[in-house]
Amino acid sequence: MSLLAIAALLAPTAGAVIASIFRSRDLRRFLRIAFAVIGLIVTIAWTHELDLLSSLFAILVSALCVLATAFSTSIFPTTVEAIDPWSRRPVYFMLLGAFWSCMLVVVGSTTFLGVWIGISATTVATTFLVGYSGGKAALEAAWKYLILCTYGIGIALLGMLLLGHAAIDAGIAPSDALSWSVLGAHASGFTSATARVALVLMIVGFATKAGLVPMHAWLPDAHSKAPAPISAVLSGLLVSCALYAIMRVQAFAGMTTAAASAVDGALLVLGSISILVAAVLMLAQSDIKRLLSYSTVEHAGLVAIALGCASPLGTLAAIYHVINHASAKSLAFLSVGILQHNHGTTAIGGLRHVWQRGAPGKLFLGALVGLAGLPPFGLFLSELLIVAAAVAAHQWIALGCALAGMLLAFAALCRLAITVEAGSERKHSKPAEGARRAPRIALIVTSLAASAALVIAIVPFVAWSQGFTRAAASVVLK
Amino acid sequence: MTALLILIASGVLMVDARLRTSLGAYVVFSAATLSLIYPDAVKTPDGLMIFVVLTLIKIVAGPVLIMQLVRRAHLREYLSPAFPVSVRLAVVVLAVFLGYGVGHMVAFVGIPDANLVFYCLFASMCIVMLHRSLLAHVIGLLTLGSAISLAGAVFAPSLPGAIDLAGTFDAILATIVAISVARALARHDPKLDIRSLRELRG
Repeated sequence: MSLLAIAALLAPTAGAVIASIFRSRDLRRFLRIAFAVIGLIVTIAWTHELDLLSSLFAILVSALCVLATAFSTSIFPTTVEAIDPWSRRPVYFMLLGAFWSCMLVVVGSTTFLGVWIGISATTVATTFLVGYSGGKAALEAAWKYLILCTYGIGIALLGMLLLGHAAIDAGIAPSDALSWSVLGAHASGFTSATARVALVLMIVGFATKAGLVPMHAWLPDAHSKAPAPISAVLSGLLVSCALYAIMRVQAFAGMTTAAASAVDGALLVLGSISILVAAVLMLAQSDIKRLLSYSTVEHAGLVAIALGCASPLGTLAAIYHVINHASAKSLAFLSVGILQHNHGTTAIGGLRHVWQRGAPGKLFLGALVGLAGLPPFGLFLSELLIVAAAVAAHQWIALGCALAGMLLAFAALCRLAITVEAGSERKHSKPAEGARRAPRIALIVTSLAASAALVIAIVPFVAWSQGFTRAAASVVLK
Repeated sequence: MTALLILIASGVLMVDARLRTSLGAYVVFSAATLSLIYPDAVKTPDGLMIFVVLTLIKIVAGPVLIMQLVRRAHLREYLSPAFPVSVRLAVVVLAVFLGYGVGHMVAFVGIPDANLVFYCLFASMCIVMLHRSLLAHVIGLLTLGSAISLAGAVFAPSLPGAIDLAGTFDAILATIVAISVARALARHDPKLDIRSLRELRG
């Protein structure tokens, strides 16, 4: 491992630890943001040592973590009962830094073991972040998250052990048995049913972390009960990292003759069920963050379908969709965080006339437009590409599920937008004049997230980036 | 003989509702799985070291941490079974048949003890499902760690011990995190009953 890699992996956690040493609150805030930016710069420098797919995800992880850190320094989540060791401000930032480092381990690894270690380590940091407030509901969400994800990750490890067994049978040295470059070079030797079962178990295990139905039960609870910046990182990045792991598994499965159809089939089934279930449940939600969490499940399902199409177009669409979703969902959660700070609620019935409530309301409505798959946001194009990939691959059932799910999700988001903007006034809806003002840094950060979401939308139309995205997709396809 | 010991210990874990008995059964279960790992683990100095660490973590750290939680938070030493004893016994039998069935699938032909691995995995899940106390969930996580160690020894004994260690550390870290969260939850519900965790629905 190079020095640059070590620096990139340690920078987020080390920065949080160093910043917490100082007494001055303003200095701590400045250092936290400064170290986060340094972490992003080191990550960008590190990408020269990574392949293009890893580079893309590493930059995405670090960029959104910088926004989450800066946002947290501005609107720090208030605790219900700050008596738990993890409910202290320095610990919060250290856990956020550790979470960031773990995600970089996932996207920077060259072996399945590295990816697995990174993903399983995220559970430790994020459980405390989910249960941060110490309230009963937050602790319940943390508990569900911990138990379900630990079992899911256990299943992925079981799959990895079976893959190791198949690799050794195929004549690969035990020390290289989980390196995907070595596995790829020997892919033709993987003809046994063991390899097929191994890869399907790995997909199921990582799908638990990606929140695909029926392993999704933890996601709406954890994402809705975590503080807003953590919800943004969980929905925007943790799910993306799990989908990245699935991409890597599928990439290897595609090279083998035995496992490709089983893995693609599993992805199509999981994706189709996820979209339908999540979209239906989105219609039934009364809390904005919970609705957005189900929207994450829906988008993870769309990515699974795109990957399940097993075509260059599908893979390209999946990667582009992950990036678009990460930026749009971060924008949504961060703007909800400001609205929650200003008005004290995330209940759909508790907010009215958000357009008149300044920039946060406008940013929130913008995020809803993006998540609904409307232009000018990039999700419009990536969803269109996913539909095209499903048509080209003749996956008609998955296509039907995707279209039905997108339509239902669109209806749920429209209902939310109409209710929070034009719904009739209720007793518990606070008037706009009496609301608190949003801190400036939080507004800048959320505006940056909005700008990123819009810039990503035009990336496919810029000549140099087309080659970059295609090259990233080819990493999965080769 | 070892397989029989694993079968009995996991059966007790699934059926019994007393904490101390369950922890005793867990120690027997872990010791039995470690005895199956032992021959391959001690071939190299590194392997021996990893094996010693695994043994200490599984047999000593886990149970001690749970008992500490019970003492400090003044919790009941009762795991609140979710079903009558007859159902729990039926689930034990079902887990045995499931383990046997899965272990004899085409994919696992030629892998000795594959059925035992799958039985242990099903048992670790059943421990969670058959009890309402969150302490049973923690014991289930520890049992999962032992089952994965056994899977490593059975499926890929020549793979680097780091994988086994990673799996075990994950299980033990999850256990420590679970104990911390359980301690916080005990403020809201001293019985640590899963029925009190139903605020988040839909």
